[in-house]
Amino acid sequence: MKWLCFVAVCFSALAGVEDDARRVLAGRCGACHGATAMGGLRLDSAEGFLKGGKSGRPAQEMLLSAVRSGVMPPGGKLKPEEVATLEEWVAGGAKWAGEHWAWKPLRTVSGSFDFPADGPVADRRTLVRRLYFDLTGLPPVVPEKDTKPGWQGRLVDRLIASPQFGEHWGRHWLDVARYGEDDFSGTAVQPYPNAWRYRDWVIGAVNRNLPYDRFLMAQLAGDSIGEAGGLGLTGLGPWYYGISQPPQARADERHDRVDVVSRGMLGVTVACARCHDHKYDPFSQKDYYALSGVFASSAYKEYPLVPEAEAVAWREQKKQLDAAEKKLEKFLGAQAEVLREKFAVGMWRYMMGGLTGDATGLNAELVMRWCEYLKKPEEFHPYLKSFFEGPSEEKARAFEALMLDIAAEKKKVDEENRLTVEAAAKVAVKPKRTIVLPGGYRSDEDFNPGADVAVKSIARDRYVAYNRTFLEGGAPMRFPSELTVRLIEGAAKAEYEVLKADRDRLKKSLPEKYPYFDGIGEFESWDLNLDKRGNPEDPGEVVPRRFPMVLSGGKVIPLNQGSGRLRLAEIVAHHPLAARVAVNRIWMHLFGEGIVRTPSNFGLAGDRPRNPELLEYLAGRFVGLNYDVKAMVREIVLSATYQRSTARKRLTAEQFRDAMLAVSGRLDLKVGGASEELKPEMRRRTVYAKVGRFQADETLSLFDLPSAAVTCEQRVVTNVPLQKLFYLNSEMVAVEAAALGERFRKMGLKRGYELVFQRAPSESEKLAAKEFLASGGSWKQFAQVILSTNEFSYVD
Amino acid sequence: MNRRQFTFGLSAAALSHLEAGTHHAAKADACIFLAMLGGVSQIDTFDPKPKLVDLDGKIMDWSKEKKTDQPNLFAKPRKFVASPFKFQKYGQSGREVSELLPHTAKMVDELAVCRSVQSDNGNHPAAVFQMNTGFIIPGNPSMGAWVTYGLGTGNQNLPAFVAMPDFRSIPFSGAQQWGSGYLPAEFQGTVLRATSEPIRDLASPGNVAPEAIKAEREALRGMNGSFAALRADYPDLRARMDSYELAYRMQLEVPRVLSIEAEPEQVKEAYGLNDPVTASFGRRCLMARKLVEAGVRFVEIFTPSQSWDAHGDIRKNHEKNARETDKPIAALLADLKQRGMLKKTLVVYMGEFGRTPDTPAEQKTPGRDHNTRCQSMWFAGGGMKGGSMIGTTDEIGHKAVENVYHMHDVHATILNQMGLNDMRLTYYFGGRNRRLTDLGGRLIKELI
Repeated sequence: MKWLCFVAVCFSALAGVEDDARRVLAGRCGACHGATAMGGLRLDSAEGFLKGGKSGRPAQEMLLSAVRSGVMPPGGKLKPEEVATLEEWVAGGAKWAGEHWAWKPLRTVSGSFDFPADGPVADRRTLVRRLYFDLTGLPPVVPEKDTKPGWQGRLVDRLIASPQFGEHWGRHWLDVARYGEDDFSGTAVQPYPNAWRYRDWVIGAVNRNLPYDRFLMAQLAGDSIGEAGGLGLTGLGPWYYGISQPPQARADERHDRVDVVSRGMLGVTVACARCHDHKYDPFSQKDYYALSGVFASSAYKEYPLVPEAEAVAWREQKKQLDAAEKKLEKFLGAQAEVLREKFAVGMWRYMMGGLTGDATGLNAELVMRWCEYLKKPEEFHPYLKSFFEGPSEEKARAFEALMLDIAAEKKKVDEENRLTVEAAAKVAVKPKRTIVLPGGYRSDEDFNPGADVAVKSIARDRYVAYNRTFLEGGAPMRFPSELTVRLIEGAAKAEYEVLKADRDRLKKSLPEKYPYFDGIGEFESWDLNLDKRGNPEDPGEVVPRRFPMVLSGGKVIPLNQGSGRLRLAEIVAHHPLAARVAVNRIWMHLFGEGIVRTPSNFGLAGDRPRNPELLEYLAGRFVGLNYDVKAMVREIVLSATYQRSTARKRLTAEQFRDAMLAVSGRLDLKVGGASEELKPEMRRRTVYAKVGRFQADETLSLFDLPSAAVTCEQRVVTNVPLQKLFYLNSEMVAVEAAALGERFRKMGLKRGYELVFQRAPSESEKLAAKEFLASGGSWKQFAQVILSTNEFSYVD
Repeated sequence: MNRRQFTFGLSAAALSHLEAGTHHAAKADACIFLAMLGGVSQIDTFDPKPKLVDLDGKIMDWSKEKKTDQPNLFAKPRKFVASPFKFQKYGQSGREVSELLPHTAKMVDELAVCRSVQSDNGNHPAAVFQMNTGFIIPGNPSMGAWVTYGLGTGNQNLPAFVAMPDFRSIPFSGAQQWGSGYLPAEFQGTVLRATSEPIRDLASPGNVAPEAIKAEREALRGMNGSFAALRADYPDLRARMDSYELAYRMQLEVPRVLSIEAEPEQVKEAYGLNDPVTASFGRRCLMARKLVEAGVRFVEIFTPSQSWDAHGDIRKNHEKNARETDKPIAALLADLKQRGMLKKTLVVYMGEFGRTPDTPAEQKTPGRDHNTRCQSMWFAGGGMKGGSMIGTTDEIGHKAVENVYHMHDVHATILNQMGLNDMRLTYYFGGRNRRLTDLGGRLIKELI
């Protein structure tokens, strides 16, 4: 074991200087001496470096003198430590050991393996607590009785088999998957009422131990492998709807997909190459668009959880209802026009009636409206000025004649415009690419050139007068639906009754919408144009869909079967990086920190593995175990390393709340189902609380729940006074403290301590509690103190 | 905790880019950002366009203009609208301000006005995101979060970044507008609520006696002390204990700072607290002054969502909004100045975009629509050049043509005045160094 550690240290020290030097070269010199090769010099590969520039001087010499003197880089001198790095690297022979470790295939690290560890073996109590929290996210509220040899294996097996394992480890993945249950549509919140089904799919997949490669595949191409539930990874957005212009919003969505796949699954930052070639890693802008095209060739899709026929029938019924609604609306619109025409003739009587209030022989409602209208200040009806100066039947008749004239003109112009628009629609050349997002939101990715048509209009003052008299809200001769219905009679009335009955019947018989998974499905295959400088309004060359070259050993792996998703899923799921990223994340969740401490970035700018042998061993083992997550977790937690771990972890937002409920005895362990508002009455585990992308829960955010807008690399742990105010004063803690206080009162201090901390109180703690209660403190307050302690929030 | 301590262990690459505290000497210790949601019309405030008087009511055919120059959201044809407000020169600087803002106008010698700020998106939500976070999509840290990340707090007993939305209508996406995005949660803005409990969970429950709180505090201190004693290698535990002490102090400090009842009557009068129209914004302006005085770094005050959005009636809308905000803002500037605080406090007045010189032809009462091609915004104090005014728009006030700046440049300038270099204020996330200003902004040098 010692020997292995030693090798690992040497390895990383060597790689260290080289990586650092390459990072400096890429970051500070790469803009000019990358693909641009200014002065003929490239500093982004061994060949380029060895070849040197046009001057013919050896690159090493040139490099050092240029950076020491500050001639290069032109934007500002290198920092002394950066120069030192280059000097050390050159002094060591300017080794360019070839490829970055992460691009290489898995190395076989053979032999049995125990992991390096330095701390003492944890005592039983600590270990039990650690295992409970790490495996289920919950504290051990029921005492562990089994102390016979092998108890650890049995405990681990039991915890891993419990549904709480999936809830806890599923939530780890939901961070990566930037799981959210709504989006911002641009004007309002767009909820995803079925989002929780993806959350449940994730939890279920962990619990049934779906092999990790299948787990990944399901989330990219679940439609092809009978796991459509996994497609929520992208089906649930983020979708950007009308936040910006359609080409921009759709490009931003694809950017998110590239990001979640590349960082979330492979630990590489391909999304950085949207506007230009990657600054550090060998990802070109073409790589980005080649991958992005897979998502351009896929579109949002619902996957009904009822037989297809049932879903089709529902949609058909909904379509009929929509059609009936429209028909009814149209009918009333037409009837309103008939009424307008009818009442326009003889309108002068209403004007006069509105003046005098005399409605004899007239429709009283219209007279009343005229009364109100005529009472308004002049600016509302400047065209009635002369009428007001000396109202007379003659002037009223003249206004009526004017309105009839405008109405006739309007009718003619409307008809002409209708024909013009229809004709223009026929000659529009470019087809529309229309995408439907969740909630039926339609987005036209491109517009119809040539469909810009000039339509006629009537003189503005004439239009305004007509509009204000007949059409807009407050117009005295307006016929809104309710009035129209009251005024129509005879055949029209009968037709209305039929249409309305039809609509009502359809509305009544339409059941609640069937349940479904949000996902994506195949769409027109589409190779994207490269967007120059990332600007979707400035397209460059077309880039055929393929996998990033550096991750496929320089080979072209086309992604052009359909959307390319299935092929992408197969490659990603079985890529060495996917295995490395997975085991590193497992390690991180168990030890508080990954072997690579940038778990979503294994590139040149990311962290180096602190123990490369260990990472390779674990990744290889994981593949050997056929991507069995539970087995992998089991092996690690039963290792001496885990038992000797000195990591100390603060409970996450979810763990903290769940632990409070667990010790207060109020925790409801029901598994799965629709999400609930996170209120004190909600007693289920926090993973079942609503997760807003539009607005995150304030409490969980306060305790570092990551934003659901973007894939989360790892949680940060902050320490701010507002968290403490939450412990001290919030209703949520108060409710649990009341319940826990009651338990303390009933079971006494000793058993209470056992329940919460799995240990007996010390003599001084007993004394302190006694004093606290004697001085008037209640059990509830005592419990509040207990819940606020660091001991409650930390796991050794 | 400074940035270096925090980031350690996150990413080796990130480390080399980080330094604690300011990058250069700060002109301002604090910033008060007045977010005029909906978008104030430049033509009716700081950018007089006499030409529009001639053109008033005339139809403009935009179809011959460049597509990106067309007011593309709203109905065509469109007619020009002259400003219903008269302009007049004010102050020693003799800068023109419209009668819409009579109080602000009196402070014009303190203002550094830029009339040529552009932005990327003409939809409110996206534009509000950009004003607050630099980007049009959700998920990015707000400028207050960036400043707090860069500078930390000036008073341990108060939150470093305070957001004061108008609870009649909070901004789109609410907390994301003052959120920390991918920065750690500690940098997010703390919302001051319009209730008797201005900060969430600030007050101890009413039925708990002060002695009981004291006893709780001591019991907790005792328990945490013995827990930490056994884990001396782990400094976080001590930090958390300190954080409790801070929370207790905050409970005392916040109500003290925010109590404005004790302010002199003439101060209340000046901020408009005695008039229901100005009371809400005035109260928040006064609180902002008190918070900054007590060491808060960044305060953002919001008008109601879309309040300045004068599509329907420019006169009515802008008169209403100006009445609510103009007097309090002028009072804030005067108060800061009188207390000698304006030198070290940067005040920024800005909306998510400007407005168009025209309105749909059919509209009975002329309004103005969204315009990303120019807006007039101003800075005051914090080392900005009072009485200056830059930026020229075309003769109809439709588009900035001279000294054209971008929202990123406003952000860069704010950071600069606070001692931060926007290119160097980075956070390594998602594989690259992120900034408030994306690829970097330009300083609005003419105003500094």
